[in-house]
Amino acid sequence: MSVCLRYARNRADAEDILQDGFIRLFQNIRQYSGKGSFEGWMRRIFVNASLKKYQAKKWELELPVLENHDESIDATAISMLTEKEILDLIASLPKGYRLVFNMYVIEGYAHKEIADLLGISEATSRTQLLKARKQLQFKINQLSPVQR
Amino acid sequence: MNAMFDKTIRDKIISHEAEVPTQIWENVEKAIQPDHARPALFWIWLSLGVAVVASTIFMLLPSADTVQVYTHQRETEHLDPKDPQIKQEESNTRQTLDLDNPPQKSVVEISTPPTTHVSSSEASASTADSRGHQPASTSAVVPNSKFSSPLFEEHSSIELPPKTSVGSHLHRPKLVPTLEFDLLTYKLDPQIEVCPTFGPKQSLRPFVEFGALAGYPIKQLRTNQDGSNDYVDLRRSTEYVRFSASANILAGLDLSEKIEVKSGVGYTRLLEVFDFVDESASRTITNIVTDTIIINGQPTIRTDTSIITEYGQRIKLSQNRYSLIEIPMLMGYSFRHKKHSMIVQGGAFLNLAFRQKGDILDTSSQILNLKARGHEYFLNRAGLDIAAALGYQYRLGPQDQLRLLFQYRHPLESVALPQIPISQKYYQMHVGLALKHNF
Repeated sequence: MSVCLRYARNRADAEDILQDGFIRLFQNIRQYSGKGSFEGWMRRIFVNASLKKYQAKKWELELPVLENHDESIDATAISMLTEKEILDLIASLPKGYRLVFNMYVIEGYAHKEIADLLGISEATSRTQLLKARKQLQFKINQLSPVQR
Repeated sequence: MNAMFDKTIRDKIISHEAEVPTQIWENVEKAIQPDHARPALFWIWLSLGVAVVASTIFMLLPSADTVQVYTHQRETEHLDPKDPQIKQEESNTRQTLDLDNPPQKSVVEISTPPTTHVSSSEASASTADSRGHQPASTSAVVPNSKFSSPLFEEHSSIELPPKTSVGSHLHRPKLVPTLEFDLLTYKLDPQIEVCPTFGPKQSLRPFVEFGALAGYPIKQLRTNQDGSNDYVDLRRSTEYVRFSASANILAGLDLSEKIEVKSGVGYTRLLEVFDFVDESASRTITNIVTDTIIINGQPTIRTDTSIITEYGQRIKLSQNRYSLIEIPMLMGYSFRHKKHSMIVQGGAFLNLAFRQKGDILDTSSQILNLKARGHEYFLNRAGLDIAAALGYQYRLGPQDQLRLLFQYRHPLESVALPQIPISQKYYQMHVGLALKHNF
């Protein structure tokens, strides 16, 4: 569920993705021969289900938020936030940013793989990640008690 | 900096767990229930059953293939010996006869009573018209014709009341004698000319037909060799048939009003989805670090290379396209009812070329790109399909007809090469429209 929550904009979307993911998982369970990690295999299915849901729509209009701000962030600022707060911040990112950020930072995909899966160029993937990071850092700084 | 930020975020949320509503599990349980899809044979038998029932109903419908019959009488009367003027009276009676479903008794009404007996020749002339369906000319009284119907002979002589005269005007009592004869048992006088359009010879009418159909192909994957069941299961779980569409241009001949033969060229495309999660995918990352170190005042270049191989899953999703170029050879039969017809067609589609694009799993469970030249999986020609179609036709004009067709195609051969351990066939069920234009 946490994987779905990261990719989804809200909880309702995450539940939809979870449901689709489990259906796909049971339908393709024969493809798992027990060699690799089952958790990893499952995770890929849910990531794919998330991409499927959001790729059907066009990319959202990317908001030019803080393009020129060089945000630096202290690790303690992040550690003071709860898991839910961070997930909410990720969910508040524009769709393109959110997908690329999750796939690169959390799932460990390379830019080439992200580009293939999302149907974008590698350069776009890098740009989206950069923007996602900056926007997330800005939002964390805003939420951080130090800044408050 | 970025790497540290990424790691901090990842560590923070990777262990997060969320509660899942129970409703989701219920929905998942419903969705993964085995699909009770009806087998292909059920749909084939259902289609044939519908075709037979519909054809029977259509044949039993009363045909309204009508012709117009003009019975014509020409009389000459001597009204008065002192007045040698001959008065001619003509009357035309128009009657509609249903030729495909003729009544047992036909009634001809004569509104003008002749002064003499009604001759059998006049009656036979009207009968000839009913066969010829074109109005006879005003002088179409055929002499010497013979009618052999006993029914007609019984009534062929009718006594008419004498005419009376009031003042200077001729007054004639209204009388409507009825002649009854059996249309089914009469014999036609060979001297009577029959309308040429009803003659035995009918010219062949060429036509062209443009058709576009779409539908759902039923894919059959069946094992040819022992031990390949797993491969069949894997293929079934990774390939989903979605859609097929077909277009054709045909030229043909109407051999009669009901029978046609046609052939031409057709193109069919089958669309599938290939969806595969490769759980044994791997990727290799090579890191090369070059440092310049000063040793004893001398700069020295050191290079460290590390290769990391990561294993994981990869999801491959692609759209497969199978294209067929073929020659349809079809024969059709139609049951006509006014502007509406029911069509039954049968024949074969001879495949000229079979092309593929996309991905499938090969026998070693590796992804095989079909676009790559030189793969040895599919035939270059898909062989022969037997086709049957049932349709409805609406006559748009004297030369054009619009057709709605339900078509089923049954492949005789597998599209996979003989050395492949499975047989792959597509049973296509299409519905579509066709426009036929006669010359």
